[in-house]
Amino acid sequence: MELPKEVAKIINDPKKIKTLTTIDVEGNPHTVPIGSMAALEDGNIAFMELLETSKTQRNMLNCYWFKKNVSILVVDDWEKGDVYQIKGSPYKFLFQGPIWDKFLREVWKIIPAADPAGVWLIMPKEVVNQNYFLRRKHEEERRANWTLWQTLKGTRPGLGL
Amino acid sequence: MSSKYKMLEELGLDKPALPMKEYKKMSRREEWDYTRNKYPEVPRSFLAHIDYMRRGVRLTEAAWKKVQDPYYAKGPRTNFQWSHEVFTEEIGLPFTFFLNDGTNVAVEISPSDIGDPYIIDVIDDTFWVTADGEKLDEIDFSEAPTYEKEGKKTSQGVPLTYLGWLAGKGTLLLVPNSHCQYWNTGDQCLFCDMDYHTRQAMKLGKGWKVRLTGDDVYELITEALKEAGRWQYMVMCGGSTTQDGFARELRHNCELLRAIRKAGEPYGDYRVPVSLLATALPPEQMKEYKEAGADAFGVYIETWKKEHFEIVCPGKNKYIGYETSIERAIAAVDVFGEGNVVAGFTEGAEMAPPPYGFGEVDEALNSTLEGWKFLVKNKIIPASTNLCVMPGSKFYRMGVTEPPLEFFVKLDLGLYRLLMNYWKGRLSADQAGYKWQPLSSYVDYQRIL
Repeated sequence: MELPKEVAKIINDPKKIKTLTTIDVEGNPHTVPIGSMAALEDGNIAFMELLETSKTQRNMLNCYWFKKNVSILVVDDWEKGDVYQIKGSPYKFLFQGPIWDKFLREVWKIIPAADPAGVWLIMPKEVVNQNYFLRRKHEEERRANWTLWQTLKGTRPGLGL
Repeated sequence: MSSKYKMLEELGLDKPALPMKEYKKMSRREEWDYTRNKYPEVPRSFLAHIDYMRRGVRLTEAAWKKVQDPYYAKGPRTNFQWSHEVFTEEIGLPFTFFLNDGTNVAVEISPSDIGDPYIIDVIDDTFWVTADGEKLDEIDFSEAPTYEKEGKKTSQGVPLTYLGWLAGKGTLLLVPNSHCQYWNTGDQCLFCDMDYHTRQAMKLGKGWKVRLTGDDVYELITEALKEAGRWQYMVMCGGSTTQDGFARELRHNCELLRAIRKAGEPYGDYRVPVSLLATALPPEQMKEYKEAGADAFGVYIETWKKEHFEIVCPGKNKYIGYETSIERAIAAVDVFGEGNVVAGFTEGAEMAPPPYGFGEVDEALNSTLEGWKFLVKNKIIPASTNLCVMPGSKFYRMGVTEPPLEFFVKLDLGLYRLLMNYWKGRLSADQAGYKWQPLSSYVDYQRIL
């Protein structure tokens, strides 16, 4: 799928927090922050793996080999609750070429001592805005009688009840 | 499973392999599907790595043309290549290609008289491995280093590409001597085609240097290290020089090691380390290697069973011997440190027909893995090069063929389990890692240790 432009813009903002969740061979999740994450012009997402032998690298390989998705969380505005979850499939690991060169230059500006392993390219499959109100509206529409059976009744201090 | 294969049982590899004659009945696709279905836990790209080498590849005209682009690394050297008479006269041959996950595969050009190779083609301006008209893997060839793109030469006018061979992404393979003196008396290892191949290349006038000098290597490494973010380590591996009890080989290798170290001096801790694969010498001489600049060492035993070693490697047997080779490998760990000593094998040599090998998969595997268990316990990492039977080798003349796909899959899985059982991923022999060693399929497991 094509990454929405507003989401790509957030990913490419170096001040926004981004995390990556991968899974290992036993199905256990593993989440790490990723400073190098970028949305490419072709609509795919890339990040530079800094450690050849890391858990994330081993999990990315596992996800690639056994066709598991990874999950990326991108925080746009924490106070407003605007956070996007992107599910995607790893499809290429690069350690040569223009994308590698560009990422290496950028990483070395921040961590000159880094010895990166390569750049993963991830194809986005699903983008979900995790904002509470949007998620709630989605569930109200998805599940019959949601507001009837899923809400807390009676006293509600914040609403003056 | 019969209790005689205790090692296979110990490693959970006791699903019996087929008798050899059954594999020979299978088509390429049948053998692939059989192995893939039997070992679903083994990533597909691991099987692809093995099979693209064992069956070989042929390039279409479009692929040959595209790979001549100066962007791609090519060298005059075509060691361990089939059909080099046809392909090296005017065309540059790349050494390796990468699959999408970074798996590094040696380009083994298949002879025209052997059927069923994979085909590398260009589809929508992208290289693909195909078979039977089906797209299998999107690939790319290694990018040439800057000194190659710029056509750099030594001060004596020798192209730098004649001196070092890009092996994968960030490693140069330096061959100190492209002549092995075991060939002088017909005692070369039965799978080796080194001198035959060197003679072919000299006839073609490719002009590579058969014997490197320290000055050559100093100039090459000095130039190479100018390219930021490219290099991880160098590997030195070549023919044996038996004169004076290998003293000449020791001196020559030390000369080159010192040259590499000197070239790296301006970079301090970022000097490039060197993995040396050479004749197993006594510890005091190994220390000379260490002092000269070798950071890791490889003792190539080639095949585990002593009786096979004696006839598959007659020169090594005559000059060093089986037990001495193993003793010296163990002693080398004290010199180079744990994880920095490998025992090299030609993975698949043990599958040659008797008396050179076992001829059957599980019997061969059980023996090799017993030996590898011993080595791993002694902090020596088995490192192998997959057997590809080359014209020019004695094995080729004897009609030996590559082992089945299942053999390699089981052996590599066995080594992975040994390393995890004993060292939990801590020891790995990263001096023979996946980005540099395209000729070996076991390296793919090193990525998940």
